[in-house]
Amino acid sequence: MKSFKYPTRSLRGDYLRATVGLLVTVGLLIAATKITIFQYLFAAGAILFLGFFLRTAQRHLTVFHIANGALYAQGPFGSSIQLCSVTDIQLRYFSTRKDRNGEGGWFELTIKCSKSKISIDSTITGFEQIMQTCKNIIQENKLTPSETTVDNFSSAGFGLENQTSFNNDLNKNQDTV
Amino acid sequence: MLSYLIQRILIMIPTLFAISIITFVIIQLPPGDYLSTYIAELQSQGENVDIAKIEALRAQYGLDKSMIEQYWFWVFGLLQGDLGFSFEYQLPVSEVVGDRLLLTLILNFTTILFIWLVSFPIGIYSATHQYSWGDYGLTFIGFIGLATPNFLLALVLLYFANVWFGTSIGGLMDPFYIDQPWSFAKILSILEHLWVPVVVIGTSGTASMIRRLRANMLDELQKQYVITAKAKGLHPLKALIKYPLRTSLNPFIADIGNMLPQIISGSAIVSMVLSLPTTGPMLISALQSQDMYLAGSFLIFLAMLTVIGMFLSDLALAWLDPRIRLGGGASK
Repeated sequence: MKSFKYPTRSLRGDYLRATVGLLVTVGLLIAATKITIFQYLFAAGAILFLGFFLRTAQRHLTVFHIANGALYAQGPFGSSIQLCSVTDIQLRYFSTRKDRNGEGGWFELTIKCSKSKISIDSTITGFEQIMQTCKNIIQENKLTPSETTVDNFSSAGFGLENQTSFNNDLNKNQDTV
Repeated sequence: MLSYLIQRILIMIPTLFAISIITFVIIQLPPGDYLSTYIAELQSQGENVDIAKIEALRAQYGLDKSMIEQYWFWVFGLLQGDLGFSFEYQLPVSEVVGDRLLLTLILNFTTILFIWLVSFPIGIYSATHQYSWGDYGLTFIGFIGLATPNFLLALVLLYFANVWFGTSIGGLMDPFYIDQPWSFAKILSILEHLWVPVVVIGTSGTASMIRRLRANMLDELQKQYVITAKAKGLHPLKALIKYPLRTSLNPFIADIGNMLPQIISGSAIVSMVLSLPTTGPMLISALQSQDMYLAGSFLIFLAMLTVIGMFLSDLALAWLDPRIRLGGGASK
């Protein structure tokens, strides 16, 4: 059984962001002397930051396991997915830098089956092992991920060139011809 | 995606804070204040100035306080939804501005919609029919749009709108509806008048967008995957829309943030020519008379539009194309 967990160090930034956001929005709400559209915006912001704080805490307490042909997320709101029933895998890259060249950004891996989905960020320990497992699932389940996912897998060193939806479109077309 | 959203929002807060400081300092940079301008105006008309009264007004408006105090007073008010007090109009800024902000938003969003609706089909047609008569004709019209000054086009369209459709000269609605409460008839009147400024402001933007979309599409259409798709018999429309067009759109999505302020500042002169009740002419007047809270509110409004536009374009780009550039893994 392999276990993966978000290290506390990698969650510190998220806790800090959530706290700063909450302090700013709640502070502005408390300082308000009258209710205008700005106060509704600050309230929405406060709810968003609170949600982010809770999600960070949930990640902090969650441990992922790969065992017996399934991926388990054990912790608050935990779930599990049988690897043979995975229907889609997405790998998206996010960065606040315009050039998106890999610095200051992170991958978000989403594994879906018909009933549930599990999202994992690249800040988790052993992300490469999860990526390798996902590559195997894509090949074994004959999935056709999006071009973006294939590109991102390739950039991370896991080539999936023949699995794209573009190839799938072409193959489907050839079958009909 | 939530982490990305949170990070982008947190970047917006110091950005807007910095913009508010710069805006306020720039407004304060010219020597004197609104009352100095007012005194000079009275003296030039040969009127006596009661210095004691002026000092009382200066204290009343808070102009005798330090710049930092004035700034905090203004920013704190802004966060409460209080835009401040207009010295020139002797009214709260929110009352002076009235429907102008809403009309500015309506005008500029309609212009963006017009630009996209016109330039996308033309850009795609020009790229897929490169060097055809249609391509040359549309490119020529595009260049005319780019080269014609907006105010000239405004005057010509205003004349023809009046002669052909009986549309009243100037304004965004019939004079009867000015200062009237919102009604269906008022909205119809705005729609009747809206097309002239939308076409005038949108023409130059349309021309440049057609050229850029054409160039982006041509780049994509010459790539090997499109040639392979065509060779393997993929439906031409699918081979065009699903892959090359989608990739060509990324620069436009990234440009939404820049587009909003460009259109708003571009519409200021057109607004003066067409007597439109938008923010442009009032901003110019407020800057001339050093009506700092009125000018500051407009400038912050423009800055907010830019920052929000950038935020939306970044979110859309992250949603549509969450791809890493170049090689290498993401940092942890």
